[in-house]
Amino acid sequence: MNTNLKNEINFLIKPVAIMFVVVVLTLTVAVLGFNKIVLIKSENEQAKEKEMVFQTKALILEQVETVLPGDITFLDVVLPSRGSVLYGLSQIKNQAIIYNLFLSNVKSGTLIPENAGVSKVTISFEAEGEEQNVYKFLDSFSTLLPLMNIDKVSLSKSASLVRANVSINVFSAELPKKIPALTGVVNELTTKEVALLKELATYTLPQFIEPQVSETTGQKEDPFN
Amino acid sequence: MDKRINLIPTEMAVPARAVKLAKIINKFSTIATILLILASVILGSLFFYYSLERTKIKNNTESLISKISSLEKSEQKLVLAKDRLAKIKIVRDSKSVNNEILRYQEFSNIIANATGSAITEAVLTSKGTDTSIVFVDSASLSEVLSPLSKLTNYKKIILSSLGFNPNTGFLANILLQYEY
Repeated sequence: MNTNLKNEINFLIKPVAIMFVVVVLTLTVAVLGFNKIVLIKSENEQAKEKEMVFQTKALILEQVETVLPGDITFLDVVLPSRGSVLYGLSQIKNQAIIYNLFLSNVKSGTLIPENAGVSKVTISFEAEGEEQNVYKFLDSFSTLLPLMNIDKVSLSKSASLVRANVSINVFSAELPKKIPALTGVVNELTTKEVALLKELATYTLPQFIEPQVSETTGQKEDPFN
Repeated sequence: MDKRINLIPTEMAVPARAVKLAKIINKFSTIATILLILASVILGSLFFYYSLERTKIKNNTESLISKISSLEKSEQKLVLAKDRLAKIKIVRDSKSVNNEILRYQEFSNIIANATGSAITEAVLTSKGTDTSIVFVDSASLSEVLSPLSKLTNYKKIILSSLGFNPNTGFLANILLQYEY
């Protein structure tokens, strides 16, 4: 009986071992292979998403020149990063000349931070002239650059003249310090923003008189001769 | 006909059920081997396909990155425009008297066109306009009130005070509210 069992075991050990090895191999290949495929597939999906982001970004950047043709540095005058008071004063004086108004008591305050990096400086002054000219002068500030908000106007009338005591806020904001990372997302300009840009481009820029170099007639005297 | 003779001693002979079991195990091993080969081929093919796809995506991404790098000037332009426009919107949304000048001018014209009335003072703020008007008599006062009632630019027109001085006439204080 024992010899029979021994023979039986000796006879079956080889096929069982082969079957065990094959089954283990099959299971190992199936499990490891399947996991690897799942991993590589998910990595590919992530890479595809990234590719789509880059594709969109490249497309947006390619269209920038079409949407924003030419130089847009005038935006730094619309909302200057510095020197907004000088721009503001220049505009106030220029407009006063245009509308034949007499300016007095021109004062500027200190920089007051508003929200989201926007700051304002208040300029106050008195303007005197014909009533209609005063209204035109005040109305002109809605289309002047840099952007200015009339905060308060006190009008007093005497004879044919109107005296306006005006407080105007001139705004400024720091320039962005860095551009987004290469892998960062950029948003294209909305139609509203493009329309606003076009509108701002029609506004009046401040005018400064560039000092001219005085032209000397004749040659300078040679001090060494 | 051939006759099969088993010459193995009976004590060494493998029982028939063991032979049958061995055959089943062998069949099972064969099926498992086929499955192993099939799995290897399928998984190998998939691995090859996804690797190719990965290389393609990687190449595309690299070319896009170099394209984006070459468009850095445009990106700067866009970022500047977006930043300025966002801040410009904040400024434009802030309260001001900018749009009230024309409205007030319309009111002022009504007073100017009426006989015997004149604006002496006006204070324009983002909340409303406070005006002082002199009327020489009650006729000039009623002459002004009729066109004023037809003004649609203001939410409320409030006659806040009305005084009388025998030397100058009526002095009215009118509040024009335009905040909606």
